[in-house]
Amino acid sequence: MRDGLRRTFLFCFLMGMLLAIMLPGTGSALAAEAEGNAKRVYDEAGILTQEEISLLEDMCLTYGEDAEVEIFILTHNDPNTVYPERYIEDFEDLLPVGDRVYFLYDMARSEIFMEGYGKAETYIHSRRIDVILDTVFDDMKAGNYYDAFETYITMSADYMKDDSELNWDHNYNLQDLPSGSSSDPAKDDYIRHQNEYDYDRYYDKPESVLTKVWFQLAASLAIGGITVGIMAYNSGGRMTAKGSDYLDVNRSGLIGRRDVYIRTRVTRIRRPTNNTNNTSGRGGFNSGGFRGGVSSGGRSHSSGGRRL
Amino acid sequence: MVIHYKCPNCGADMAYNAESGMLRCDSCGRTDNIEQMAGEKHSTSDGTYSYDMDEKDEEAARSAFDNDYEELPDESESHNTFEGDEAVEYHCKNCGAVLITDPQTTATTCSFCQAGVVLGDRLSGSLAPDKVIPFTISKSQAQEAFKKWCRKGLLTPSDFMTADRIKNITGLYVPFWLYDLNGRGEAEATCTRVRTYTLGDWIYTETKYYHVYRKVDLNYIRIPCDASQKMDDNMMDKLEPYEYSGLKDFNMPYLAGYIAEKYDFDDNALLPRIKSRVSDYVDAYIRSTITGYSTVSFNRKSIDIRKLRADYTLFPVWMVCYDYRKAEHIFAMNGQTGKIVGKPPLSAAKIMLWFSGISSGAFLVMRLLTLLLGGAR
Repeated sequence: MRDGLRRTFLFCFLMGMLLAIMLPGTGSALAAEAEGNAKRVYDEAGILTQEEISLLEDMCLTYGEDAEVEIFILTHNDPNTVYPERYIEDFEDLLPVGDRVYFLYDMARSEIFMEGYGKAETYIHSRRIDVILDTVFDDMKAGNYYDAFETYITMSADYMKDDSELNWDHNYNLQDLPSGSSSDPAKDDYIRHQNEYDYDRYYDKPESVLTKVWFQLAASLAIGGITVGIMAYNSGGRMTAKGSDYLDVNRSGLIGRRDVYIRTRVTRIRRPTNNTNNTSGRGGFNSGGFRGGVSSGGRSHSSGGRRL
Repeated sequence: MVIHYKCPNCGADMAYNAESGMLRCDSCGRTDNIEQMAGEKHSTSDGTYSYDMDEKDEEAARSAFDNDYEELPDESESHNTFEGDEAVEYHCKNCGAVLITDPQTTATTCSFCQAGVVLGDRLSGSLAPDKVIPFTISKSQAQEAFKKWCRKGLLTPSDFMTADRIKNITGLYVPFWLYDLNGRGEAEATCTRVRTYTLGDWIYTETKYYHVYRKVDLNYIRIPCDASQKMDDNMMDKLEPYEYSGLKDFNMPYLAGYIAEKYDFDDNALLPRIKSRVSDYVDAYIRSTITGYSTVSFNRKSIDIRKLRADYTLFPVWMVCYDYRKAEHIFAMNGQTGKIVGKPPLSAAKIMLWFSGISSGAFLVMRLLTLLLGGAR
C-alpha cells in the first residue's frame, strides 16, 4: 500500500518535471510560428540590414495593429519575375482575405509599386498612394531605404485612420474625376502621375508572337518541311516490329514491384473569380484610365507606381 | 559437293515452288513434299534414313536418287573445313559446267543450264541452318506486288511508278540468327501524383512523392538478326515481322532454284547488336509497368541481357533491282509477307508540290484562327 502511494507520488513528480521541461519549449514553438505568420518584411533583394529588418518588422506590426491593417514591405532583384503589380497580386493570392497594404521595391526594374487590399483599398486609394510614393521617392532614389519604408509605414497607418477624401476610389476614371475648374490640382496630379508611370507598359504587350504573320509563315514552312521529310524518310518502309511481337508472354513479367509513399507537398493559390469586368486580358483591369486592378485570385486593389 | 534435284519421273530439274510449298518439276508437274522426303534428316543419329516413299519413289530411289542424294554429309564438324578453302570449284551435276559462286553462296542456279543446285558442304556442320522460312510468294507474285507498291509512292516520280524497268528479281535466302534472349531489368524511380482540388477560396495542388521500384524478367523469342555482310542491316530489320508459323526445319530442297548464302557473322559476333535492341525493349517494358503517376524520373536503371539460344535460320527475301535514270535502286521484299523496303527515287517536283500544299494549308488555318480569336477579343 505504502509502496503504491510512493509510486503514484513518484509518477506525478516525474510527470510534473516533464511538463515543466516541455512547456517552455511548446511556448517558444508557438511563438516562432506566430512570428512566422507575422512576418511583414520580405527583403529578397537584401538591401536592409538584419537590424533594420527587425526594426521595420516591429513598426509594421505596431502601426498595423493600431490602424487595423497588415503593412507589408517587399523587395526583390529578380529580372525574370513578373511585373511589379502582378508580383504583389500573386503575393496577396497566397494569403487569406484581409486588409493589407504593400510596398514593393523591384530593384531589377528599378520601380516602386504600392497596392491596397480590403479596407486599405478604400483608405489607401490610388490618389493617396501617389502621395506616399511622391514622399518616399527621393529617399528611395538616394538609397535611404530604411527611411523611405519608415515613411511608408507611418503614412499608411495615418491614412487608414483618415476618413476624409474617400471618394477617391481606386476605380476612378479620368472622366469621373472631381469636376470643377480645369486647374483642379488633384486632376492635374493624377494626369501627371499617369504620364510619369506608364501603367499600361506591362499589359499592352505587343501582340503575341503566335499571331505574327512572319512567325506563322515560318511555322507553316516548318510544318510542311517536317511532314514532307517524314514522308520521304518513310518512303523506304518503316520498322514495324515491336518488342511485344517477340515477347514470350507466358514466361515474362514483373517479378518485383514496390511503390513506397515518401511525402506530400501541398501548395495553394486563390481561386480565380469570374469577374465580369475582367475582360481586358491582364491580371487586373487598367485600360481606359482606370487605376487599380484585380488579382488572378479575384482580389481587387488600389495601386500606384513610380520609376526610380 | 553439289546437290541437284532431278525429277524421278522425267529427269528434268526440280525446284522449290513457293505457291504449293513443295518441290516441283515444271516439265511433268510432279510435286514432292519436302517435309516428308527429308523430314528424317534429324534421324541421322542412328545412321539410317527411312523416307516415306511410295512405289514411284522407291523405284526412283533405286535409279536416280543415288545421284541426287549421294553422300549425305554427316553432321560432324569435320565437314566444316572448307572455310579457308574458298577456291573449291563446283561443277553442275546437270551439265557439268563450272558453277560460279561467291564464297558465301550455298545455293544458286547453274548459269548455263539454269538448274537449281545446292552446295551441300556449305550447309553442313556448324553451317547447317536449323530452320528456314520457305518462300510463299512466287516470282510473278513478287513482281506484281512490287509494281503495286511503286504506284502507291506519294513522292516517287510518275515514270518510276509504272515499274517497267525491273532489271532483275532474285529470290534470296538470307542468313539470320534467331535469338532467344532473357532480359532482366531493375529500375528505381521517383514518381509523383498530382491532385488539385478546390476548397473554399483556394485551389490546392497536392503533390505526392513515391519511390517506385520495378524488377522484370522477360523472355524474348526468335528475334531475328541479319547475319549477312552484304545485306543492309536497317533494310533487313525493316522487313520484319515474319510469320513464325511458317518456320520449318531446314531441308536443302527448299533452296532448290533460289540463291542462298551462308552467314558471315556467327551468333556471338552479332550479340551486341541484338542486345542493344532488346535493351530498348526491356526499357520500354519497365516504363509500361509504371502507371498511374503524373511524372516519372528514373534514379537508377540496370538492364542485363543474356542469350539463351540462337538458331541459324534462312529467311526468304526477294531482291528487286530497278534501273531508273541510270542509277540502280535496290528493294527488298519479305518473301513470306510481301512487305517491301528500300529507298525509291524521290521526285523534286512532287516534294515541292506536297511541301507548298501542306505549308500553305497550315498557314491558312493559322491566319484563320488568328482572325477568329482576334475577332472574339
